[in-house]
Amino acid sequence: MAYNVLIVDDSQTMRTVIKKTVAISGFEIGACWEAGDGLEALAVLNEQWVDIILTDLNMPRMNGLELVKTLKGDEATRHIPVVLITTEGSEARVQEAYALGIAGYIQKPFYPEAIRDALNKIMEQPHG
Amino acid sequence: MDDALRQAAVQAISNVFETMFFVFLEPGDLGSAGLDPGTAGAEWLRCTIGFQGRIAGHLRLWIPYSLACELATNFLGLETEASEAQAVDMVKELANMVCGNLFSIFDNQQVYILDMPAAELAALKTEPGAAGLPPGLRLDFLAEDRWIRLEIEPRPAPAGPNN
Repeated sequence: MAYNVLIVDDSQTMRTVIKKTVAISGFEIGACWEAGDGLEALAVLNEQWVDIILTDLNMPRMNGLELVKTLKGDEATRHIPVVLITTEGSEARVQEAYALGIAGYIQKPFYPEAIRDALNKIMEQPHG
Repeated sequence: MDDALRQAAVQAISNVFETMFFVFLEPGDLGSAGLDPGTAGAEWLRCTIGFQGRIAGHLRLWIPYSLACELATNFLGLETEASEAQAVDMVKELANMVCGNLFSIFDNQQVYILDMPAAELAALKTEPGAAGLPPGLRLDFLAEDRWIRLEIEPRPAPAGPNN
């Protein structure tokens, strides 16, 4: 089964690298959309069916945690697993993100295997 | 604190370069070594990112523009040389990763808020004691036979009621 992926990061460079990393990781991708911040991500979600979201934390306008809060507060999007890919790795920040409902967390810099393993683990689990 | 911050900075920048670019950094001293012919007169990208947590201040990453272009080209898997916009975006992300990793190592229990990074072309001052050099931690490394510099400039703690 192929999954539709939404990559949210204010860096075009990181969106490109994450997209390539997901592609070579062996994870089956259907469509892949990109957004530069949380607000752009919500606009994509209004138009497209997305199976999993990979989002940065530190972004202008709407950051990754605000995006997660918004998604989890909406019946239409709360089922979508969200993986946070961020440079920040404090325990308090990670716990805050899990409490908000993220499905996984990857710290930058990352190896491709980290993304593949996180995606496979998450998509094997039921979500709701 | 300076030594712990220094060790965390070395570990963070080394980890980022090795993991993302497969480039191994060699610590050195640009002030005493001087600029090699390949770097002297070169354009530099200076990326600055502010941080707030138990300590607050700025982190600056200096990288020769030519090296930034090469890293961006390889990082993105491009067949032609990366554009200036791609090199600048890559350096901003690089500084962001170094800063985030640094505080994960230095102070894992504390949340640090990172500002949006800003990058620009600038001239690097290399002479020891040169006017305009900021106070704080300064670390030089050789990367692919070119110098890069990391500066961490903590802001003085605000005076408390008893100070």
